[in-house]
Amino acid sequence: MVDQNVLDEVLGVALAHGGYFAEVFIESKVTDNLRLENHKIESFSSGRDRGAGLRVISGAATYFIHTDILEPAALLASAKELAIAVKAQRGAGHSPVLTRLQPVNATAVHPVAIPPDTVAQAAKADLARRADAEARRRSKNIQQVTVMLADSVQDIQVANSDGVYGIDKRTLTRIFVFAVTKSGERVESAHEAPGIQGGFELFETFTPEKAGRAAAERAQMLLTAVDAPSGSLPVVLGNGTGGVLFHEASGHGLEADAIRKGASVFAGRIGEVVAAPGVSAADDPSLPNRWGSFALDDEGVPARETLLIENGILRGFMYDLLTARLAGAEPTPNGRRQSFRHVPIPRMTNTYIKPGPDTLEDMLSGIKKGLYAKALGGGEVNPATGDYVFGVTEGYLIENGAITSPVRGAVLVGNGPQTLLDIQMVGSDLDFDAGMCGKAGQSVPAGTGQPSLKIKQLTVGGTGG
Amino acid sequence: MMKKEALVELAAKAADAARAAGADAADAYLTRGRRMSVDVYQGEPELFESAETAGAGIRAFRQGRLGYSYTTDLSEEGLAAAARVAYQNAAASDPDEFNGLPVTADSIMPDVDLDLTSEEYSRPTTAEKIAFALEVEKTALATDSRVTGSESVTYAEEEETVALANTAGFAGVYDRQTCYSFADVMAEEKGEIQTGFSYAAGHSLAELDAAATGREAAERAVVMLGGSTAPSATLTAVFDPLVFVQLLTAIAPALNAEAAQKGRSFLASDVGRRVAAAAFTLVDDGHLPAGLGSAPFDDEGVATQTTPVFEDGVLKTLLFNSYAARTAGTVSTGNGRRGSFHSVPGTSPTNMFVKPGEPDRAAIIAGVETGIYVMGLQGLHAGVSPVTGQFSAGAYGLRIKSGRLAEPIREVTIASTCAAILNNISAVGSDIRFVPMGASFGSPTVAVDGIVLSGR
Repeated sequence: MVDQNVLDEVLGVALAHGGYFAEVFIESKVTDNLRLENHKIESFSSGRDRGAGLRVISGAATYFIHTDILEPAALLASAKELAIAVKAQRGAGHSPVLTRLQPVNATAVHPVAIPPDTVAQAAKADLARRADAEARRRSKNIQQVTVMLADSVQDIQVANSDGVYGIDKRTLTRIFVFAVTKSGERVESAHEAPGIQGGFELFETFTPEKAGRAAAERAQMLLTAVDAPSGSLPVVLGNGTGGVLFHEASGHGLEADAIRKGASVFAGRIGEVVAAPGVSAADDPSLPNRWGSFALDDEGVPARETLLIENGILRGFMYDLLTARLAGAEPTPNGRRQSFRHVPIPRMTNTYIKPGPDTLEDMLSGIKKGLYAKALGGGEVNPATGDYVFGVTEGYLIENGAITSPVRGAVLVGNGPQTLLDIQMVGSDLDFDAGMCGKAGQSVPAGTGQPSLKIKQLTVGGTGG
Repeated sequence: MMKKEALVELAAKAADAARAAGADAADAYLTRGRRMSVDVYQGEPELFESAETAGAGIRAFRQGRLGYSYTTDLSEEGLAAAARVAYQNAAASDPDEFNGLPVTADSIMPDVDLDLTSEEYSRPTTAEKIAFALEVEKTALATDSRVTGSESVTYAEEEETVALANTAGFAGVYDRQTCYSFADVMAEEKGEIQTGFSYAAGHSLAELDAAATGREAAERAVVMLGGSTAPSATLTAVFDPLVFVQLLTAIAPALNAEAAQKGRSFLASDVGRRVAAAAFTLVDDGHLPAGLGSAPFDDEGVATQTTPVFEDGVLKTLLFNSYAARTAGTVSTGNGRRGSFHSVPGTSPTNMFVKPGEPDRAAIIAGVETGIYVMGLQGLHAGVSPVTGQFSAGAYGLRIKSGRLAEPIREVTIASTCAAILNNISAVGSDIRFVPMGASFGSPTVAVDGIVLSGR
């Protein structure tokens, strides 16, 4: 990490020719990746990324530069280059007085019981082999099993001209199991990928066997699945992975950059009804050891809960420092970046719908014909319109109030704001899932959470007619 | 930038360091580059980025075991340390007889000029680059009064030197320069917002057209205003070139020979068979002059080539890196590629494109009685599986009625299989466009019959 006095000097040089805000972000990240396929550990890969990202904000314009070299001379040279760029655009400006750097007090803690660097390579290989063996044991139709085990430790240091000085260490551990089954000409696949902000204690609660079993059993079940129905149907979304729907269909529209540009259906609607009564949602990086958790965000803002929707009423947006300043709002801990090579932008952390009073049985009982989307895969949304699409990775028909045949190939199509209004029941069974969220060319770990939900109707696309 | 010769020399030293650490064989992939971009918003620059980047990835083999390590420290000591780690990492892998450096007669770099750089690249000033991006935004706003603003308008450029050396004596290096512009704009009418995008790329700013880029994004947004879902039907879908390109990116992983060998491709047993319509010819050309996916050699040091993948509907071959080639007892097609120095070489297309046909777009649409002109697909990565061939995605576009474009349609899905889509291609247009999405993918307008559209 870089000496605090050097960071102070770098901030001063960066603001020499104008701008009201300067920041330096230092990162050192080590990763380990192991890949198993075809019964073999194919490769073991590791590496280190280190560098600094510097920025100056002048007017509404951001000037950003990054470098792989952390020597003081290189950091100062980058700061000088930034200052010259500011001068070229704005003319020599007035420099603010730098506020003395003060350490930020982070209250959220995410203890790491078994740091990845204390786990031997052979032990990591063994975990992958256990997942593989269990997946193959669980299905007689297994054609292939792929296991990836990935861990990373990221140390960050952030300092800015408002006097913020913060450090954080983020440890991520995740296993990914992908199973392919085959019966006759028919091929199906499924995956399971739990992850935590934490170390290899992940495998004490979520054993490799559990991940292998889940992927294999799902891929096995799909071999007997019927083609998904198509048309407009009532849908019950399963707890856990279903949270990706709120993340995509509404969460992105609650990020302040989309709000600022009017590229969101939620712009200007704080205090209005945006969801059915009984629906509340929040974003919270302080949840202990969740996949999207941290102590400080990438701009030094301490982790805490941001209430987004309260009993159907829109209460808040997710900001980074720049969008908060432009909107005259309090920053929220949502300034995130993929690495020192990227500028921070407003991003979700762990976004979830809060639990309600209902049970899955009650949700199913009123449905004559519908779809139980137990697990969702990835999705895509246009935040400006709220239109979204999701793949259902594990789904079942609901017939006369009961879950019947498994279905395959279903996608859900809808409009985020409309879906929020169409939520008829909220379960008590909140659960979380881990994913990688892509936006503006940057990928960050994002947790999603949801209890079971009953939705009045959604367009289901399938080939079953 | 560091001299090309110096970078390739460092790569050779890094590979040698892995051998000195104990590896039987090794290769080192080094990149060093510089990039800048400017985003504009409401007539002002919003974000300037600039950076110099460098990285190295070292692959070490040890009795058939593979270890990999990467670093951003390109000093000789930094590379030597990474080389040792790569060798140590190999200990945790299982031996595989098909692991190893590519077997190739071309142990020297192929002598070709693929036109990957431009003398014009360095000419424009920062002010001219900003002016370009501003022009894109301004043109979009001026195209139609319903265009209300931009979500993002970017001009970006990147130059990079790529060097690769291995312990079998290969040493190669090349430069590439690329410029891009992206635009996402919004149109609004009666409280409804729609968005449109466009994209341009080349080897210098002079090759890009700001006004055309801005206009296209605006037109794509405006035309979708007033759309709604449609009744479910089976009909002909005419895919816009930029959309069929997206579809190609979703299907391409099934063309990876290693995926096929390991049971992860719906095309695994189809080589030599007619599995697409006769109008469909798909080429992967790593040698395409000035192609954004072109390179003299792949990321394992194998010379790139022109590979006919589908010819008149017949699947001629899959794409091979050296591992998959050795497994199959054949030679690499020069498709051993990696996203960056962070990862081991996998298999990826270079410039993959559908060979254009005769009719223009208007003629294809005129031949459709009832259909949809698809202007966008959503959720492809969730709904399309290169493993099973399942295809379902959200779609939006324009209805086609009696050979003419009509009202916009949104919130519908298309469900089919990749095989059925390839088999039911009924027309391929003359209007090819390329989009770099990892590899560079190109397609003209493509019509597909028998598409199941689900809506109301």
